[in-house]
Amino acid sequence: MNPHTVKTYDEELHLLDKKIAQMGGLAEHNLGQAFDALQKRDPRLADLVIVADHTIDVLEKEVEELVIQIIARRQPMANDLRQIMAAMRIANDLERVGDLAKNIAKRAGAIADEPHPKPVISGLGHMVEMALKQLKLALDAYAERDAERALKVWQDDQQIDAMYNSLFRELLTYMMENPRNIGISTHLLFGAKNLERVGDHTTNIAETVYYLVTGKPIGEERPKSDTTSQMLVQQGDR
Amino acid sequence: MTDISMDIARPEPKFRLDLTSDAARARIRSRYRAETRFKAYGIAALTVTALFLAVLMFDILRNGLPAFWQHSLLLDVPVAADIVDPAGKREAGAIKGADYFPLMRNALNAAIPGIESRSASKQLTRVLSVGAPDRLRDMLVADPSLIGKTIKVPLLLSDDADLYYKGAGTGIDDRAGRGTATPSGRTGEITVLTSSNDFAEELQNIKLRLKSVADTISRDAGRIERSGPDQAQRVASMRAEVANLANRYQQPGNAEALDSKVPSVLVAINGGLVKATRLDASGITGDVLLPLKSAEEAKPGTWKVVHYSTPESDRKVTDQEVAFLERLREAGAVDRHFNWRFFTTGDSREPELAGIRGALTGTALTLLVTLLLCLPIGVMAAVYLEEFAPKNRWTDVVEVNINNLAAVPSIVFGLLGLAVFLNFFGLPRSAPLVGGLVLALLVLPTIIIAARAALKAVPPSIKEAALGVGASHQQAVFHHVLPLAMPGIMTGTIIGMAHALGETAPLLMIGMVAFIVDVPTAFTDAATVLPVQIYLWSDLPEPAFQSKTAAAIVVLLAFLFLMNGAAIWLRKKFERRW
Amino acid sequence: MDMSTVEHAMLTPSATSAPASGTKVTARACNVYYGEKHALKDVSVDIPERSITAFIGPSGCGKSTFLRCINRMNDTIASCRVTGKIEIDGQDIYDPALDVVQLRARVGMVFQKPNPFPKSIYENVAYGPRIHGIAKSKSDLDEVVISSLEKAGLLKEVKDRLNDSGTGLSGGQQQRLCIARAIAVSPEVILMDEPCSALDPIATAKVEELMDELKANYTIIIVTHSMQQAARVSQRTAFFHLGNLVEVGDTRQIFTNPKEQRTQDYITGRFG
Repeated sequence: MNPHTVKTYDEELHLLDKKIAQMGGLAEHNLGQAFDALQKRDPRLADLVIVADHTIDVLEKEVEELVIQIIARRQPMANDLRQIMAAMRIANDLERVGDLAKNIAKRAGAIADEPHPKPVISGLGHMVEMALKQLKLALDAYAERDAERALKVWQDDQQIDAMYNSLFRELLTYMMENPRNIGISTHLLFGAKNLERVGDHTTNIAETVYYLVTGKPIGEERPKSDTTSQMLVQQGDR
Repeated sequence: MTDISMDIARPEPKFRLDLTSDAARARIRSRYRAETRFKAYGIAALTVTALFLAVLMFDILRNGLPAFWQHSLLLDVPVAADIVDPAGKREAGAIKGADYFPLMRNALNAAIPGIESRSASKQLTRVLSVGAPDRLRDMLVADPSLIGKTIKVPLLLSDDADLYYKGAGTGIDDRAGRGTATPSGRTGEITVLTSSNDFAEELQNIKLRLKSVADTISRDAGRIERSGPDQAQRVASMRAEVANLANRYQQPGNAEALDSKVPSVLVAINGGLVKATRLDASGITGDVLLPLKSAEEAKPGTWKVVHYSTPESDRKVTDQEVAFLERLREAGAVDRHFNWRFFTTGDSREPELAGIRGALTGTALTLLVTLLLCLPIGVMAAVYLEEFAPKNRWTDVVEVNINNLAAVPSIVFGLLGLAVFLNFFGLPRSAPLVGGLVLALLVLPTIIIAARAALKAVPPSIKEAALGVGASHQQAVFHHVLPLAMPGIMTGTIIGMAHALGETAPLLMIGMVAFIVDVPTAFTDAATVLPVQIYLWSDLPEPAFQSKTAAAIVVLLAFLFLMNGAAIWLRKKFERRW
Repeated sequence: MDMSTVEHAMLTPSATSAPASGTKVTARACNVYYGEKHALKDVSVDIPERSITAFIGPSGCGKSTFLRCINRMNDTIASCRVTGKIEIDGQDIYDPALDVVQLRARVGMVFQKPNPFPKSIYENVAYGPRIHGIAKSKSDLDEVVISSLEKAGLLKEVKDRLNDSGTGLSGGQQQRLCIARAIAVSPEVILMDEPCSALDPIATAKVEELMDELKANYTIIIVTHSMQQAARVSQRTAFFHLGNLVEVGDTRQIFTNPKEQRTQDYITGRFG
């Protein structure tokens, strides 16, 4: 793309991208670390995640301020306008992802002394892996303005939903087996839910990237596989 | 907010602005000096111009302003019915046609009684202008009942007498006689003897003058002698002349004759005036200019020796006339008044009667013709060229030629007028109509150029606005562009007319240079114009006409200033800024 | 020219006026030459009725040239030659049988610099109706003048000084006076050639508000250098570059998601 006649405008836009990339990196890192804290039952690591989340919040504020400044001073048009609006929304999503990671870290602290149900943890691990992969893919799509990849992220979100569905069932079963498991199971359930939400935010980012690149919203209804809202507690599976 | 650091090491620039070194300061100083010098040149140029202008104006005003005043004699004129209206019918025609000369002569004789010699009485009547009775005649025509009465009326003085009162005469000084003077008679040629050597001083002056004349002749003779022997006879006669003169000036006592080349010596005695023609130390022989009341002895101090310091041959008025004029002045009969006549009469051979009304009217008629012709033609031509004409080779040619015409010498237009208007169309010579036509040709390019400039200066947005609401091209031009250009066009026109006002050369070619007494009343009457009148007067020998020339120039300049002032006023009043 | 982009336009939910019911001005393969210079190249465009269409583009791109073709103002330039076809309501305006003076009464124009006649405010507005014989009597003329000033939103400010000179008004008032003068002859189309370029932001806002009101009754075409202005006032925008019509479309689409790279570069400030 041609540079702007006004060079500082380009610099500001690059700075915006840089900050988004920084936020994305931090969000990914925090999410991974939060799960590590959970898996290794390491409250110190969890605390680290909680502290690190603050940096993401600060970055989000900075992005917001930068966006307002650019709107006021440059009156952006067309792709520039889409870019800064996208940056703002992505920053918002990443901040939410950061919050969800923090939430997982808090729960990791709460259940550090409880015995872990192994299969559930490994399921959760797969989910984290998937969410991180999706997030990375979305951020790459943003960095490279790649609508194809964004579309792929958007379509692949149902895999996370599917994982969440199976984890949900598993934990329900686990809780029914022994009421003493209800405490830890609920924590793990919320953790899974958080990961599912991370997936949703990632999808939002993908949607934003798609709009940024093409100027058009992603047309059809997004494929959804989170069916837990219709699920009931029943004796045994159907 | 933008925390991208821009700490790129800036290399020392190859070319640096240097404002502090000595060279730089010297450069700045020389720049200011150059500016100061330039301003000084400008002021000097302006000063020189102003100086020239001031000298010119001063000279013209000094010469011209006296011509705006005139002197008359206020005399009691007994209007004898048998002279003015011998038929007694009181008809205006008869009164107009009467010979007023005797009345004038009688009035003068009454004012200065006792003049007997024919020459003196002739000189006395010469004091008055031939136009002196005009006023009286007008009064009598207006009111015939005045006939038979004696009325006080101003009688116009002749140009020489007028100039004498304006200071172009002679210096007069006198001293009281020391001895007792005895005149030998009252009139005619008399002698006046004094008991002391009252005239020794005058006699010595004459001797000194004789000596200087002798010296000059002697020098000339020597030169001629050295140049060759062939003029021996002439040299001899010159030597004899020198010897004769030497004989005269070496004998201090003997009498000498006075001629018109030396200051006049007169004796005022017993109420009369005697002009010395021959004098020795103790007496004079001379002609009585003003008759004496008696031939009695005059005691010391009661009579005077009078000098007219300018020799008679160097002035326009004779001693006799000076005597008359001085006497009239003493009698309080001289009246100084504004010279209305200058503006109300036409040209004349007599300077005191000549006026510029004919020339002014001629100018007005001529300029009227010029204006009526070139304003509409010029403006329409300019509008067409500027707004409607297609821009092609032909309009370029027209444009170039208009600019060329503006630069053609005016005499060429005169020749053109002569060839076309007089010879081809057979229009009358010397007529304002032809003058106006010629001047219109002269001024037309100026007006076209000025009008085009004025039209160009109207912003195109005004025309576009009119076109934009659906006005036709012509409506846009005539409703909006032309009215806005009008002040500029008027300014250009006035300046063009001022140019025409001062133009002489082309009018000479079409015969407007004739001597024309009558004030023109129609466009085809013979007429002249102000600048030509100036040209004509400047050629005449009478000194009074020199003064009239300057006065006419003052009038012309006044008109020019008035017109240019009007142009400036118009420009200021209607000046519009967009 | 991609005419399909026109199809999914007209989604202005804020449009209070009657929706555009048809095409007012149609240009087909319009070329303009100034002597040897090819100033406008093969422009074809449809301009909808009762809406504001903005022409944007860098200086010398041909947008003003095209605007001036619509009321044949280019006729006044001797070296100018126009080919192709421009129709208003299906009538070819370059038809030799058509009277250009009548055309200009139907297609009013407002210029870059406010150019009121140096006459009274009343005379400024009354001039057009008078030369076209619109008003039969003095009272009719008064009515036309008053209603035109009213429509131009100027009446309140000038009603006590209708006989004062039009050039004594402020810049923004002068421009609105020029608009009043244009609408006094009841044109169908009003062309505006950078009408706010000489005005301050407040006066600009007033003129823009006026344009917004006028679009209920008139088809307005505005040339502007201010993309923000085009974005604010127009329903449709056409981008010209180097004599070509690069892109035309719904204003919302042009300023958020232009189709052409050149349009995008221009409106985002990336030219050259």
